[in-house]
Amino acid sequence: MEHNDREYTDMLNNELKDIEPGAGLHNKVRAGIAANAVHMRRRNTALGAVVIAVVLTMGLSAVTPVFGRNGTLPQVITAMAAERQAKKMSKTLGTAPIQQTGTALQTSVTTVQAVNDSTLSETDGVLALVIANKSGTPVADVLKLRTDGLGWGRIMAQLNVSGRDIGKAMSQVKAAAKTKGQGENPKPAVSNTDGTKIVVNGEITGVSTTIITVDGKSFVIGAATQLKYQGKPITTAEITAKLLTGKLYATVQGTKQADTTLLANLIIVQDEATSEQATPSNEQTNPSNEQTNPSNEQAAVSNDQQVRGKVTVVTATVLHVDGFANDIILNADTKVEQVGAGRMNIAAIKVGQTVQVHVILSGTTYTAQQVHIEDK
Amino acid sequence: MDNELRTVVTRVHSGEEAAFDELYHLTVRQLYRTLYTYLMTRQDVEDVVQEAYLKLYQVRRKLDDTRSVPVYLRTIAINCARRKLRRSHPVRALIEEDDVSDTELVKGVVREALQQLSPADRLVMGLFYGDQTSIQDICRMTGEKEGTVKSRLSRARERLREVIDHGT
Repeated sequence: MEHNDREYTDMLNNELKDIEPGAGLHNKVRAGIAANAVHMRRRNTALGAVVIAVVLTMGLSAVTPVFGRNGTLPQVITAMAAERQAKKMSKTLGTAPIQQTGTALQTSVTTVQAVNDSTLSETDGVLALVIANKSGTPVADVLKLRTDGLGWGRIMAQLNVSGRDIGKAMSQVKAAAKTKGQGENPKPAVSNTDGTKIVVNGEITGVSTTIITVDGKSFVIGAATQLKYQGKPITTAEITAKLLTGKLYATVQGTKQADTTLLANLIIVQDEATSEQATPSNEQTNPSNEQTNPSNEQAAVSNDQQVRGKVTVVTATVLHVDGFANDIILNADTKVEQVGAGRMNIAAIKVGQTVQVHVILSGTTYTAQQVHIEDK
Repeated sequence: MDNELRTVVTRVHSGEEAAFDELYHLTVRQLYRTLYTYLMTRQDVEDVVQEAYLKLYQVRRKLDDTRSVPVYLRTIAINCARRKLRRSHPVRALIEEDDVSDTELVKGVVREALQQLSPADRLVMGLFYGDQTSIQDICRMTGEKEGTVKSRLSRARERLREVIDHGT
């Protein structure tokens, strides 16, 4: 196709010969350019003002809690980072991230259960566990701060937990999850993974010869169920009689049955609620049904013996150590010490901790003379 | 002309304000006619010319003197004109192959024939025969493939011939 088709060219040129830009068009173009320049100046000024406002707000928010209960800007940023990490961790862990986090951080099952029972999301639950663990604060306090509406950043600042602490804890959880995946977890889980063991602390609201209800959970009392009160056996009839005179509390260690009923293995009856019973529902689960501890050396001929293992149940007066079948009585004379912390009180003993207990057998009662908590 | 344009573009590129006016005067006539074959109304053409020169002004410091500024300018203008057609004549823009507005008084058979062409065919016709633009440059300006441009030219020629020969 060439431009030699003159006929069309001439035709068009002839038709367009009068088509010329008007004299005023140049002025209009110039006016348009000038108006645009003004518009751009105004836009840049407005943009500058916005930038200054943002910078000032950021500067101010770094020292003032301008975000209300979320705190200062750094706290908000820290919270966002922590939440992002927790969310990622929840996603990585897949099922039951709170339990897995509790396991990795060697948190007590009561603590894990308290988080599970709260209204927090899984991500928030993971974060609550980590913050409680890193700050050494009871998880109930962390949950309270959260339910009071405080942002995670502000809670972290208040409990002196840094973003780096969260990162380290997350790495720890991740590493534990990885090890567990390889079947080489050196530290058996404290919290449940198989869900067959269950521990409930709470008020006894009903008892019969075959059923006991604690904190709303009903357990079947079987032939092998041990019922203890102050280290000694107690019958359901005696519990019923005591209930007539006032409130009674119990820690029940049970097993979930195939038909979903709960069979009580051990029921420790107490006159008062333990500190852990302050939580609305203290349902705990333990991954291991095996109560073996080959390292426990029971001196057959001596009244003194050393018991070493993980704490499975602890109240103000009774201690149960994995692998040792008997109640260990805790009293005012029991010395408690923890590695790196020195002298502690009985409240420092937590489920899941590895302890070495010097036990004195008197009659049929084992009393703890000294409890050495090996976990820092 | 080419040397003059190149010099002016270099001056515009270096930030000389008056050079932009010179660039306007060197290029506006051709641009105006190109746009007129496309839009067929002076008001629309003037609006698009203003918009096109404003856009050119905004990128004046980035203009390359070796680049074909008139082609670049017409590309900007054609895009602006397309948007204008779409806004002001949405139906025509969608089916512009067949439908043609008769908004302007038709003077002469050629004008009538041009008006019976679709804006896109008319634009290609105007660029090729009116501005002596190469097929390659038309492709660059319109963003269409060579085959499409040639088809448009062929269709436009046939239609013009038909109208001129038979008056229909």
